Amino acid sequence: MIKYFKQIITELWSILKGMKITIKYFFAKPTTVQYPEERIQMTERFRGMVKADTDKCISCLYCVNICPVSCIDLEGEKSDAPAKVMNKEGKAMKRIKTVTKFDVNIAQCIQCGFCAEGCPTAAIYLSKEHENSALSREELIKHYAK
Amino acid sequence: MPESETAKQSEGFSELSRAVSTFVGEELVINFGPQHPSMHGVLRLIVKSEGEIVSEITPVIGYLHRGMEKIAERLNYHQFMPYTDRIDYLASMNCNFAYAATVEKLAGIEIPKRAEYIRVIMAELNRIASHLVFFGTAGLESGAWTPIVYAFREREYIVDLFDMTCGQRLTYNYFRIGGVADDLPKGFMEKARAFCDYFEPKIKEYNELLSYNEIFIKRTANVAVLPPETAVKYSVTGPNLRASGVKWDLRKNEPYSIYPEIDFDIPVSSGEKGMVGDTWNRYIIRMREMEESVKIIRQCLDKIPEGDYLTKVPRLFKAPPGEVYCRFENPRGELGFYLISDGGKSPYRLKIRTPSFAHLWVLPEISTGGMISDLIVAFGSLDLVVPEIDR
Ligand code: SF4
Ligand code: SF4
Repeated sequence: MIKYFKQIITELWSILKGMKITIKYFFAKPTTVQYPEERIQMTERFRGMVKADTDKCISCLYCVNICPVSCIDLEGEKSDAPAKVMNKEGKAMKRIKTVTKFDVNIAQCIQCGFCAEGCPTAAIYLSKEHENSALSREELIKHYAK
Repeated sequence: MPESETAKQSEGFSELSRAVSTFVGEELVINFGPQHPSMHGVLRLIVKSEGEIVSEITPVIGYLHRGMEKIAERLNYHQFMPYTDRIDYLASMNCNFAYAATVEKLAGIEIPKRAEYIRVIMAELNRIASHLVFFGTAGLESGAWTPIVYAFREREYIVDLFDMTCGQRLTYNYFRIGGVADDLPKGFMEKARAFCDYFEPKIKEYNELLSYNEIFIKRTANVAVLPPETAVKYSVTGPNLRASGVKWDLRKNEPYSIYPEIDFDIPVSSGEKGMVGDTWNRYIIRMREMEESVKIIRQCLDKIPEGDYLTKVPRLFKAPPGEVYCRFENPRGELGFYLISDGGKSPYRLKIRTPSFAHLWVLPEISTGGMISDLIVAFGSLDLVVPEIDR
């Protein structure tokens, strides 16, 4: 009998010990933010939706080949007047081809960042955008060619 | 009470007890999952029970099978890295680590010292993050709702660290063959140190809140005991094996990376509150491992050298023909990659040995004969991640 009551007391005591911690945090400042009214800043390296600046693209097809899920559809055309673009190191490069089609299926994209990592001219990049839900699958294919 | 009414009542009782006895005699088949609140992912258990007692458990797997091993055969070595994130989404860094190191071993690539340190820091941070999820769900499964909130609050700090390093919060894809994708960002060291200082006292708080709570101990001690012989027989590894009293940790037994240079202990359970290998031991071993991980991270932060973070490996590099098996200590146990190369630009065959797959099959062994409510607690204590079972 005494053992029984002793047990109840130790159990109650351990509940109280836990309660102490919860009460401490009950009065502490909340650690969450009220999304979407409040938003947190994305970090500098954040990998969001893939975007492309087709003026810079030299149609080297690096991104198309490295993409593990093959979600980039790119077509280029030989241009008569080669334009100059800057590569990542700041050196000028000749752009012999212009992009006629640059579609990225962001429903397939796994935001691995391989494409942006290897693009010589930083034409394809991962933006900070992360709210990319859409009502249809077609809307999820982004057309970047002008 | 009039006599006739008492007679009627007693007749009712006997009728009820007869119904119960026929019910007990019958086996009841319960489907746990594939979608069930206490399933961690999409897994199905066909549970046969007699009353409250579980008499048979048949796990049904395959709902999350993505054919990763086959996918590896059509991608080049670099391209498979993001897929390893998705083997065990709670410990992506560790899976990245294992894959990268396997390919490096096969191809004989030396990686810079700094990269090794960064890798170990990330792996240990991810181990803590993974164990925190375990801590939270262990609470949930035994009916305590508070721990998961605290666990995710702390995990958020780790995820923030990962976010600033590689830009993602769940599937990191941070490791590269030859090193890591990018150097540690500015402010990482301070933040990581601040996290260690912040987190250590929290473990004590958790112990007070849940680990040594009498009711939690009653609920878990001596429940679903996994004896060491059974554990070894089923190739159980990681914390689940150490909870059964077997001191086996690949970081010590088959040291890889920079673990030999670091001083840390391997916690092994000694049956403090119940039998060795029970649910409570499987729980507490992870709390102790988190302490050790903090210790490792601190040492790495102090010792990390300056220098390169990546050895450049060509995009279409071809690994020499041969085969290699490498195993690594993941938060859940031994993760192994068996890689065969025929000299081409993608693996000829990549077999992935995951810990959860082995752990699932001890569940019938330890839970039959127990109560249904204990089944959930035991299931949670094995810390299974279903995508890892199915790959
Ligand atoms: S981020 Fe990865 S998956 Fe997405 S387009 Fe680039 S390479 Fe393909
Ligand atoms: S890697 Fe860059 S430059 Fe090359 S095709 Fe892709 S976007 Fe264009």
